[in-house]
Amino acid sequence: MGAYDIDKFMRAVNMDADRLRAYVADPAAFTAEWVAAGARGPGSEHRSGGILDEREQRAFQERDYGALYGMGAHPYLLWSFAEAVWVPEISRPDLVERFRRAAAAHGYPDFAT
Amino acid sequence: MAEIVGIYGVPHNPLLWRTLAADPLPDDLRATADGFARLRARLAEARPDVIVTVSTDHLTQWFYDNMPSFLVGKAERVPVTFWAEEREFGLPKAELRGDPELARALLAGGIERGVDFAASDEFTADHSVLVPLLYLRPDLDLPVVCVFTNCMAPPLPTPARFFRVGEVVRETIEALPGGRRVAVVASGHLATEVGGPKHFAGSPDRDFDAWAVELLRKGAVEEAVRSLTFDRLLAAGNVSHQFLNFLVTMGVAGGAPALHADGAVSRFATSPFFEWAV
Repeated sequence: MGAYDIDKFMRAVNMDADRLRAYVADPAAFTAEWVAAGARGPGSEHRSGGILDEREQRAFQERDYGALYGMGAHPYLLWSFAEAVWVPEISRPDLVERFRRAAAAHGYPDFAT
Repeated sequence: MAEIVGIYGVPHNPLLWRTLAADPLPDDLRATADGFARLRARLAEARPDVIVTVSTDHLTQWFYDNMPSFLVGKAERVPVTFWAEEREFGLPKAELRGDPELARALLAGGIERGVDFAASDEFTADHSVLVPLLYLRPDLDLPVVCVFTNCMAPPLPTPARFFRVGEVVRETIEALPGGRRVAVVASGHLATEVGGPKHFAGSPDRDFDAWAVELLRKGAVEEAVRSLTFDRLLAAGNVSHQFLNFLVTMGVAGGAPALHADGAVSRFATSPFFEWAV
């Protein structure tokens, strides 16, 4: 749990077409699978990190970028992730606005891991 | 001896790639297009044999599982960029030629002078390398040596360290035998926010932009090193820290005032354009 594990999940989804497709198709199932794989794999993806607590799992199940921002997700990575998993379901200009409001509720959380 | 023939600082905002391709060019982007065109001509006049890039990977190759402060890419081939960046920005994939000999010299020269660069024989560059080259050297025909800097994952190196890295790059290149002509291109930002309350609404801090450009125009090394703290840059915008890459080029230039320093205002964060005398 923590910023590193949040960032690791977002990066894994954001940088791989198959994972992105699978996550968007069913965020809850993808998140459950990720958590179940835990430190055992697949491959080197999880290693020591990758374990998400319940609050973090819920945020990923709900694609809740505002909650992730508040929990210290890296803002650059979070925006790229949010755009990948919400557009075109939400238009980019609309997402920019929604994201801005969601982030403003938290100010500037520490995003160091 | 080898020679530094050009020192430049440019933006790498990947959103420029699609918008600058619009025909006709939107009026608000004219100054940005002109800024790139001017430095493209200057780089051509400098006739470099190789380009050393100084820039920050965006948690693409370099991530928190293995995060260097400063790293030299030593690969013979440098792929650019990543699938996520093709998707998000429409950037083309390409492969640049590396220059392992110069890379090894920079690595050794840094270590001899007290800058313990990390190094990698596998280096995939992201938009921080590709975007500047697409505008400054569209044929992508010159070999590159990529120097990575950590401006994304705090704690960051100090501003003084960025400046020192630049000094070391210059000292190392000038100590090399042979007559190679080397250009140094740093890329970064002025005040910029992505993924925060102030994102995507033009510059988040125009006062910072004007002040920061002036620092380089004046060659105000002491003020820059003292003032450009993590918190000061964060206040300007949450990814403004990539301005620190211009302290590296300031160091390459020995702290001299920039020949040219400008911030091109547009719908995006203000685009920095710098050139230093060699």
